[in-house]
Amino acid sequence: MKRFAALASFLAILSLTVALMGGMLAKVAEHPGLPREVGDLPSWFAGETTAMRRAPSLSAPAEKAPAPVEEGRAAADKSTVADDYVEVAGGEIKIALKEYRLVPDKIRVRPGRLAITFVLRNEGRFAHNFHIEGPDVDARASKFGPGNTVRLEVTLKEGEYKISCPLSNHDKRGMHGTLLVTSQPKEG
Amino acid sequence: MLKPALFLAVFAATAIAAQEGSAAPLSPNCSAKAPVKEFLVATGEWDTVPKERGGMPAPYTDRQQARAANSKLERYTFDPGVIIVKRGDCVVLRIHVVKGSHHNVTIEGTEIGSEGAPVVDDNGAPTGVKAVARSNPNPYEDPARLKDGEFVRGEQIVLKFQANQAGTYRMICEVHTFIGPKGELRGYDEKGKPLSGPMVGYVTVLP
Repeated sequence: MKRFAALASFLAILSLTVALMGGMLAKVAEHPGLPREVGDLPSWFAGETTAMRRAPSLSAPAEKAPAPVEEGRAAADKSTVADDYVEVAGGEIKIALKEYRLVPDKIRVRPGRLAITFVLRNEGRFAHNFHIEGPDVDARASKFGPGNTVRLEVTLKEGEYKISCPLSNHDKRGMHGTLLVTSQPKEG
Repeated sequence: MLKPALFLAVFAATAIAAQEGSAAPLSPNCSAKAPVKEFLVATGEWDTVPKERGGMPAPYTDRQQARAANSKLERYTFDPGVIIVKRGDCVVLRIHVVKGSHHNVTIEGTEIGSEGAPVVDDNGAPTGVKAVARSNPNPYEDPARLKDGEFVRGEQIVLKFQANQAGTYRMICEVHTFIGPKGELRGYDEKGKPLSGPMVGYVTVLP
C-alpha cells in the first residue's frame, strides 16, 4: 500500500513538472518577447514570400503565365484569325490576374456553350477581383488574395462584354479586357 | 509512466499547432481569444516647392524625374507608418483620411484590403457606409465616382485581421503608388506622371 502511494505521488509530481515545463515552452515559442537573431527572422517582405509559397507559378511567371495566351494563339492560328483574340470553345475560361493585367485580355467565345465558368487565378501580389458586364450581365466574384483561385459562373449571350478588376485603380492601370460572344471574326 | 507520456504528447501537439498557425498569413477573421490591438492611423502628407536661393521657384529633379518650376513635390504617408504586433494578435487599424482626396489600402501577399471595409464614426461604431463603388460623398472633390476599396477625406475605415505569420508586410495605397514588375514601389507611373508616392506603411508581425 505504501509503495503504491509513493508511486502515485511520484507520478503526480512528475506529470505536474512536465505539464509546467510544456506550458512554459509553449509560451516562450509563442512570444519570445524580442525578435530572434536577424538570421532567424523571416525574409523581409513577408507578403512576397507568402504569395510565392502559395502560388508556385509566381516563382516562374515568365514560363507559366503566358501559357493560356499561347494556347489561345495556337487555336487562333488554326482558325486563320488575324486579330489577337484568344478563341475559347466556352464552358470553362481560365484567366490569370496580376498587376495590372488580365491574361488573356481579349477572348472570343463561339456561341453554343454559353454557360461559362470563369476560373480566376490571382498570380499577383495584391488582392484582386473580377467583374464582367455586358448584355444582361453584371457579375462579379468576391475579392481574393494572391495564390488563390475562385470561380464565377455566368450565362452569356451574343455580344460584347467588358471584363475588368473592379478594385480601386486596377482597371485604369490596365486590368481590363474584352470578351466577345460571336461566330464572326472581329472586324478591323 | 503513461501519464507523463500522454502529457508530453499533448504538449508536443499544442506546440506544433501553435507553430503551424492557420492557413493565411493574415486572415480576415479573428479568433475569439486573440488579443485585440487597435491602432489609429491618419493619412499624412509631405510637400514642398523647391526654390532657388533667391526665393524664386526653380525646376528640379526628383528621383531622376525632371520637374518643372513651381510643381509641388509631394508624398502621402501613413502615420504611424510602422505597426508592430505579435503573432496571434487581432489587429484593428482605423485609417482616417486627412490628407489626399481619396485612398485605398491593400496589404501585399494577402487578401486584406479596404475593399468593402466599414466606415466608422469617431467611436469606432459602423456608420453603415462601406468602401465600395459609389458616388463620392465629397461632391467638391474628384473623382465623381469612387471604385471598390476607395474612401475619402473625412472618412475613417477599419481594417481587421488576425496576424498568423511573422514577417513585415507592406501596406500600400495603390492610388498613390506604382508597382513595378518585381514589386518595386514607385512614385511615378510608366508615363512619368507623379503619383505623390509611393504611399506605404509596414505591418511587422513579431514571431
